[in-house]
Amino acid sequence: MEKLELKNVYKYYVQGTVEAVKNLNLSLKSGELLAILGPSGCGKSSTLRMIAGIEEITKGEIYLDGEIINWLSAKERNIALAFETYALYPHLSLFENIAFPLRIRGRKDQEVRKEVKKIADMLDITNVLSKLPSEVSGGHQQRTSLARALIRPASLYLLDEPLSHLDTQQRTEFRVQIKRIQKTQNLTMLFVTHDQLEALALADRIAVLNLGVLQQIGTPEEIYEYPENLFVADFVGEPPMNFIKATLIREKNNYTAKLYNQKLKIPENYKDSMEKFYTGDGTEIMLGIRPIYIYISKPGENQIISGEVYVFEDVGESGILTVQIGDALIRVELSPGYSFKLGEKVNITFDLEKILIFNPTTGERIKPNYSKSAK
Amino acid sequence: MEVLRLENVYKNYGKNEAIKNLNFSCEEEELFVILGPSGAGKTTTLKLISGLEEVTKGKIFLKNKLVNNLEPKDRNVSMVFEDYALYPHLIVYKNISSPLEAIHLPKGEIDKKVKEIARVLQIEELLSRFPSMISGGQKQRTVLARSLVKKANEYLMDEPIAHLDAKLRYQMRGEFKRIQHIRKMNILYATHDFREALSLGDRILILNKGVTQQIGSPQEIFNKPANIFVANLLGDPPTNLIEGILKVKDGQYFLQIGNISISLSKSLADELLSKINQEKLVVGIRPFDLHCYLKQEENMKILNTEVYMSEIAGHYNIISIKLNNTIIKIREEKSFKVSLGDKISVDFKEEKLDFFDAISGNRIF
Repeated sequence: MEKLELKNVYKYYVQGTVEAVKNLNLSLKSGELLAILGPSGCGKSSTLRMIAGIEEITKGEIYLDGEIINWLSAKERNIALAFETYALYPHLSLFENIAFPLRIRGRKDQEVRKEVKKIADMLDITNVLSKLPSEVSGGHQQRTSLARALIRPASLYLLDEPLSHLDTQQRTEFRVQIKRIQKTQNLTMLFVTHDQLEALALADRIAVLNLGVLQQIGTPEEIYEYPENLFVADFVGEPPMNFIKATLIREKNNYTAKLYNQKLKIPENYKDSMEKFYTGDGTEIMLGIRPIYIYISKPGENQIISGEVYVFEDVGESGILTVQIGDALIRVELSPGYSFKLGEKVNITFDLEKILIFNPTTGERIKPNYSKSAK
Repeated sequence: MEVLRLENVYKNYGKNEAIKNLNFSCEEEELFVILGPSGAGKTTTLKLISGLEEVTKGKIFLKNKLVNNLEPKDRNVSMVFEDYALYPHLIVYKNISSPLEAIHLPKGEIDKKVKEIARVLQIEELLSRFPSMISGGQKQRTVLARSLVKKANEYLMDEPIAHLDAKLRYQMRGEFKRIQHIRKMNILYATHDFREALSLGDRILILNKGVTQQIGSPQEIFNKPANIFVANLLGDPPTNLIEGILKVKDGQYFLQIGNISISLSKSLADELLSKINQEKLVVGIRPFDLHCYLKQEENMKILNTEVYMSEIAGHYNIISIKLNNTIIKIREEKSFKVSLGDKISVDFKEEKLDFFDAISGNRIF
């Protein structure tokens, strides 16, 4: 069942001059965890605030549990919120902060204690419950803010940058806890983030937003492996994807991409789409390939690309090799154990099955004729 | 040759001991990294060396000369700050030459130095542009050029690329490493980012709460962490640490973790026993040294355990399992797909284990 649905939603500020959100359509199923991902200014916070009822919708409709909620106040919407700025009551203990949503609903003290204990256990804050917000770390405050949002049953839980104030390690721990709670309690959750790693790790589906426009919505794997356009391809993944300008050549009935004085065979399943795109030898295309899908060539391999080691970095759990080919730099991510000297000659091989092809003018990905990526 | 040496250096702010008995030295052409979390004392250390802060106790030598009582300007060190403001009304050339003009160097010499550093940093063709006309990465290189154009005994860099976005940081880290390869400089580099430290450092000092934890090459630090703190600081996810008890039964050695026992070879157990005086210890293993299997085989170390969490970390998956109330993280290929609650078996090679003293946290061997 659709829990939340946004239909043709727009948000304008300053009497229509600033378009923060443009024609947004998306929906959330019951029990789903959706991430809205994008750089600052992409419209993700505006979207969240419109759903929460903190900001008015300029145009379009928002439905919760099948009913339009455009004109309901924030209070009247059955939505729980946890914000980046934790907004805890400074004079109340963490316990009372968490208990607050139950207290104002007139729940019995015994019941409140039971509920607070349950949620505090899940979020590892049981031993700091008697403290005031000012007496605990930012991480504890963030957990408390989340606990306060999760303590009451709601149709939808909205989380705004829920991990932003934590260090790397706390973040990975907290991430696991949030996802465990969401899955085991079967909560419907929507969170916004600018951190692509966080979105990939947490979400069932990700909506990528840029300049108020939805770029793509899909599972983490779809977003990572089959980005719809150059923006998504570039925004997601670390180290970032390599982009290489190339030109198309047709030989007999096969297409090859010419780059750096090398010709790479374009996989068979692209034949039809290349046929459509090709306007003669020299048609420009943009190739995208992730550092993890480039290998050091084995002896005797063909379709290799030769270059020189620009720099090699051993970062413990992987090796990042940057190869210079003419004026271009290509980044390769290798498993631990490699070592290279600056300037050393090196041959690399692209995993042709993993190469993505983009229209350099529109930035759209050119899809193969068949395969699961064609959806 | 030794360029910088700290001997028994302490720094107190009132009752707060920011630096406790710090000892290290930097060689000519060495890039020496201080790695630690915020509050470790990294910036304080740089300030003590530059003379912006006074040492409470101990000695600082630059080129074998005691500098404790010298003014910052007389120490001939160059401090590169995190903040990278360029003069917007000056072209790149003038931005870089400003420190040399301030000391009234002859014009010809200034020109030579500016062009040389611009060539090393590959910004020669930008020299006549204004800062507003160049990219973020080029601005960063211009700032670097301005700091490096003046000759110094030691260049002190405090998180020089920490505030850049992830993409630019990747790029700058590589550029920086290459520049250091080509033109060896004396650099003391403070960071909280373990990848930066491993990538750039000739040697790394790990600092926590003002106390040195370990000094060594990147390989030593990553592969042989001196204690639990160091093990936990490096890697994403960091090393898994779990308490266990060393046990003998019928001549067989086991590591008891909760109700799971993992058999150990006799040679390893003997070596452990010769070095510990209690049976409790902490075991460490890196997430990429653990491997998941859907089918169990008898000799696997951890059989039939439940998937606690499965996350996509871009180009690989992180699978978590729970072992005696500790969450263990495993880095697996993207093709290994499981969901919450699925049963898996986990295996690893014994030699990949690190052992730490359960009380002191120090490495046993």
